[in-house]
Amino acid sequence: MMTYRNAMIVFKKELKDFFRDKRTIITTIIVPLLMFPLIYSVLGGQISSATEKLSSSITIGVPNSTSDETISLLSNNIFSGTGTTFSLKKVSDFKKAIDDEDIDVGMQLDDAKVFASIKASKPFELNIIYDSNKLVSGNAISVVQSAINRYNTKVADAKLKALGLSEQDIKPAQTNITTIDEYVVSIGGTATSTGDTNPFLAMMLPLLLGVMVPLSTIAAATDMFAGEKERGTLEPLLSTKAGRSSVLLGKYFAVIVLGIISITAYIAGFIIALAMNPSITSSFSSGEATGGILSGLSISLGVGLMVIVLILLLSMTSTAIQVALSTWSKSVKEAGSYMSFMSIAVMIPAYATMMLQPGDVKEYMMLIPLYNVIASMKLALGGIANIKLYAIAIASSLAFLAIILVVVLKMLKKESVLFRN
Amino acid sequence: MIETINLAKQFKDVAAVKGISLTVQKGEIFGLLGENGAGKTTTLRMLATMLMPTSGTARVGGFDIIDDSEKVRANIGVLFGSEVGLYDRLTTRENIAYFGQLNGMDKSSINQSVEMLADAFGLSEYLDRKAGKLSKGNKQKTAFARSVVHNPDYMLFDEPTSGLDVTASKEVHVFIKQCKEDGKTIVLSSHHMDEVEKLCDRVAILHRGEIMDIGTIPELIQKYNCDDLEQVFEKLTKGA
Repeated sequence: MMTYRNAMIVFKKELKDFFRDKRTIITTIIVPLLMFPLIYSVLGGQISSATEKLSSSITIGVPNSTSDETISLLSNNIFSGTGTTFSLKKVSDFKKAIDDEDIDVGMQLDDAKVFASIKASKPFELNIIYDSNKLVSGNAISVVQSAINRYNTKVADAKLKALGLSEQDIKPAQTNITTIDEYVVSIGGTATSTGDTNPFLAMMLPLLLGVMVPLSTIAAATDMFAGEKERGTLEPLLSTKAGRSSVLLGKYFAVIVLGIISITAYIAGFIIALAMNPSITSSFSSGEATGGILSGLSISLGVGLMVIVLILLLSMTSTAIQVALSTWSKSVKEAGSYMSFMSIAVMIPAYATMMLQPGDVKEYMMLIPLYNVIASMKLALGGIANIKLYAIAIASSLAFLAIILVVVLKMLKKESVLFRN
Repeated sequence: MIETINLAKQFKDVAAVKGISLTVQKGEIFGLLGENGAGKTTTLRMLATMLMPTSGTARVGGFDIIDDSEKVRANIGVLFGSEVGLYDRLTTRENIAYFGQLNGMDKSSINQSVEMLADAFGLSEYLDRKAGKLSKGNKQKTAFARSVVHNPDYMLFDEPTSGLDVTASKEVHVFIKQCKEDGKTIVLSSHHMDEVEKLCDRVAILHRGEIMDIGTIPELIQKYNCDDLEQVFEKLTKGA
């Protein structure tokens, strides 16, 4: 009871202290809130303008010597009816024209042969030239190729029809793709996945949170004990009636609350950024985005709650490590050095899980601190309801957390740590 | 009562305190007089349970500093020397009140104590000012007030007037004397002879971790046939 009361006193004082610091407010709330909107307004702006350009019109350069008849034939037979407006433009120098953005791609061709071949539905070659260093040119190539494929299919269908054949006659083996869950359900079993999958969030959110959650508490955690030592307030604090465990818990939970506020600001900023640039999530959708600007973020309540629990666990684990480093450090500067290292180290589990598919998560992975929580987020957002894996991750994280806090408590009782300087 | 029994502290190959034994009676102001490095601060830190003795022990109010460290902390108020640490973003009032809360005081007792201490140390007009904006002297006085806000029975002051001007030092001296009148037991360290002469009932002269002698000031002056405490100090430490 006494421990709880004193821990609350320390907790309230720490929060008061944090929120009177303009730097803390800037780094904890304002920067996280603005970071994603700023990044995505630049990135999203570039993607939108490229997407807009590709879906509206593509200019294809052809040699100056190309006849108007061939151009007309190409336009009417290949580059029409695709939803994108193609313009064929005569140029003398493909490189200069692409550099000057007069054309998006170039197309070398044998004028006479192409004209005759299209007329007779015979084979011919088109050599497409593009600049992989330009976003529009690089993406235009697939649109151009798609238009050519469409033409090829149309010609092939006509030829087959003339022979009294269909496409299936020349491609006899047909395939149907079925997921394992669909298969299990079809034979009367229970699917592993809940179906609440969100490919965009499953890839992005664990990565972002894996990095952002630990980073969000670094400034406050650095000051926690190293700052007290540097200011000369630690000794007076530890000489009060309040036990070391109360001081530790009060400070620890204050940093966690600050971290949660910061993460909320990051997530709010992330949602604002996606609302401003829906094209970012639409690339992850199987079809066109149809559910409004935030359709890419839709997750079920259960998954959302699980993610919140995991964020809390991630914050508690990473903060405990930071507290240990802060306690060991004799100055804020020394703690800052350790935290810089940690800010790089936390990227390892975050990036290590980036390409991990929810189905590839193994039991031993759930025993690795930090990694296990990020991998669990993958599972949750991938719609995998594997209670055993979640239980291992949560239990091992809590055990790790308890060990770290016991170590910190021991350090706070060790004069070689308290008086390292 | 505070008593040390062969209290010793070794830092690697440096013997900071070499088995000192002394007794401070209830209601007494006891001075630890010595040069820098004599072992005054280390002794006070051991009494405050911040450092663990290498050998020997001490009792504060009947509680052993090793076995009952939490009970010792519940009965002491400590002003640590060197750099005065305050929470710069908290006000003077909040800095003092925080330590009152951590020492188990209720809100009204804290308010009463803060007002009384602010009055005693001339801090009333600075109570709602952020500690970071205070002068060095006012910071020192705030740290002093913080250490005694809970009205402890045992007070340990390491260089209580270090960095204070004459007026502020006088306020601290008046306060310490008042505490004695209230029956508090006080151990203070100092290297200011005049301060020790003014305040202390008895002194221990420390030199290189050892007690050279203990007694009242008149006793020591008479014993070593000196004119004042400074001469006694020089005789005991230079001849050692």
